[in-house]
Amino acid sequence: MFEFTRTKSIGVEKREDGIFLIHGFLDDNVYTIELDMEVKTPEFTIVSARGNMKRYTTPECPKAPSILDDAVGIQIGGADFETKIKKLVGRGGCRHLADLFIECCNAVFPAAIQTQWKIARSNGMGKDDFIKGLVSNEPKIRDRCMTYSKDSELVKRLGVSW
Amino acid sequence: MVQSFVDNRILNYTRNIHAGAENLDNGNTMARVRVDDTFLSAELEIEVNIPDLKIVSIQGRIIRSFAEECKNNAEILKRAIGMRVGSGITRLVKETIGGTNGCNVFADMILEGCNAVIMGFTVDELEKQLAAETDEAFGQVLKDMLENNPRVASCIAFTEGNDLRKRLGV
Repeated sequence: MFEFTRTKSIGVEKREDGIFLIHGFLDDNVYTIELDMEVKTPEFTIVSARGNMKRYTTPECPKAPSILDDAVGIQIGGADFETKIKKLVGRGGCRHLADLFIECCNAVFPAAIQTQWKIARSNGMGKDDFIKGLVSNEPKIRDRCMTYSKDSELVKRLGVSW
Repeated sequence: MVQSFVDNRILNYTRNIHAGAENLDNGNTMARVRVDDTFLSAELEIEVNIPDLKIVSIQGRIIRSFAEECKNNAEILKRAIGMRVGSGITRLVKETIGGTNGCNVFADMILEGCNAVIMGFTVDELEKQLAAETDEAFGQVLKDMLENNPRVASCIAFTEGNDLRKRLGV
């Protein structure tokens, strides 16, 4: 029997004005949390964030989402982004809300990539050419992991260097 | 003319994560994590020894990925064997399993699994606490939790001088 289960579900849609809307939902044995955010691209700046603690453990927990107002204006990404959010939203509010918040933030970049890929594919571009363009033009991808490191098989095969 | 019937848009990215922890007959705990998003699908199993909380076995695979090469990354999971689920695990996993020489998908999944193991320990305790049927009993449970827990300032409930603390006289 499961002692603990947690499900997190994130959905991202792109509005016509370039703002990404992110909906996050966390449900586990202890907590149910909902989160709605707006992120402006290409800056990846948080424009708004609203949360709702639906199931929790103490009478203080429902107050936690009010801390999200302080996250408005923060730019997603960078080496210390998660640490910053864990401190601000986690310690100042709720660490499970912070967990969902980080998950929502991390979904924006792949959503932006997906938007580009959809356009590229409809224009007849193949996956290799798309990845090549991505690695060549997007510093966030380079050396992000072993697949996209400069010595990887993929990067060598595509003939990209930096 | 732009349609004005509905304001709905098709989601252009979705991500679902499931993590669970269960107790095994050998006394250890098994965490299972599954991630499915627009670009990839991956699964992971971590067995954690009880009571020392060390990872004794780990296996996973990337089933679907945007770059085919990601499917070859499972070898790096061996680096997690022997790690202790406790203080410092986040940094250790991010540096050892994630990063330029690793796989951030697996790093995040390991941390999700570790969290499930830890939360598994707290569920039983919380169930007892939340079973209190009167305000007095529940207040006492919260008071004990706030007084005996070292996590001061770890979240809004543990903030010094908050309404709950004042109400309970902690």
